[in-house]
Amino acid sequence: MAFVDARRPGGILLWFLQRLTAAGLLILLLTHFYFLHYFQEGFVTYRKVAVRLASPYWKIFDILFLTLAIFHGFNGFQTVVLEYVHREKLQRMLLILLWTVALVFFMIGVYSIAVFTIQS
Amino acid sequence: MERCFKIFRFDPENGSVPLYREYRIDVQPDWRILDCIHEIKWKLDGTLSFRRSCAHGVCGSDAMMINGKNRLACRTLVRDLKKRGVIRIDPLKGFPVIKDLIVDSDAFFERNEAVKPWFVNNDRPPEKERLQSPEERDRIDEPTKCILCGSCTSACPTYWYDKAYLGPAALLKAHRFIFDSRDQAGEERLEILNDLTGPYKCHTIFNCVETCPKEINVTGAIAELKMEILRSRLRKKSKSGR
Repeated sequence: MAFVDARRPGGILLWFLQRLTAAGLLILLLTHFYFLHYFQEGFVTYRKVAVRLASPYWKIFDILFLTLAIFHGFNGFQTVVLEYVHREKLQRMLLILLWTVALVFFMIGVYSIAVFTIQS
Repeated sequence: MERCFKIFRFDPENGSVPLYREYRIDVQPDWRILDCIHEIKWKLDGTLSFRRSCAHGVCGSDAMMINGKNRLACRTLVRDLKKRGVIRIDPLKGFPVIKDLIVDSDAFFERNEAVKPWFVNNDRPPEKERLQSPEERDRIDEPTKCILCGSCTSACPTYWYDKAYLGPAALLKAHRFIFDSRDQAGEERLEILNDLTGPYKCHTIFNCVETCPKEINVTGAIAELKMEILRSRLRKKSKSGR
């Protein structure tokens, strides 16, 4: 049976991590919305957001948010590639490209959060 | 009353191209679609080919697409379909067509075999029978109703574009044995399913549930398999940890 020979392990891990990150994202997203739109008084201004982003706790929160979002999004992309691209070489190339882009996005994100300070 | 049937015709051995042919016949509202195509084959066009065996919804050989939905021709009455217009009949989608409404189901049964769809118990057989409580029997009540007609796998979009997928029917069959209290090869089957060809390719589209002539909740069964693989992994982890 040819299709069984082409089996690769890892089915459960991708699915489980996708579920886990989804649950995490939901909590983080609701927290984010609450603090950005409901918790503070008056309009959202650059200043208000900047003050929050400069605090180390919110930096940890945002980096966690970024990690989960990047993984969740790119794992979804990976599923699309695994299912729609049937030529093995092309598939492998696309997956390498995909996770390289993910890593670059992640590093840009972490950098911009980590070094953020309020300009006065 | 007269109804028009638009039936998919294809005969590769005679070099014909796939096309639809229309037949007008007098039918009664309580005729089954199987009776209608019999009427066509016996009285109008003897070259029309289709599969049927028991004709009572048990063997599952006359599954075909009737008015855009996979159904058993022997379990669908003319009055169950829309009152006016043509009745369109296609072979099951996603399977190669051999002739007219007959599809090649080898790949379908190959996938079914991959999950070891047979009872495994290496204990000595008891004198009478291997007892099962009503609750244990209920656990596998739905999947045991499957007649392997192929409607679900043929309706599954994941199966259409990715032939590496085992498909809903094979996964349902795996469910039937994995959750059978008397069977002992559950872990082995879960190992086979923990793969990119397995239940994780199910994206809960629910086409299989919608089309199943036995009204089995196939997507639900696949979801249970996903969780069971996870549980089996955790069981193994905690065992090796001790």
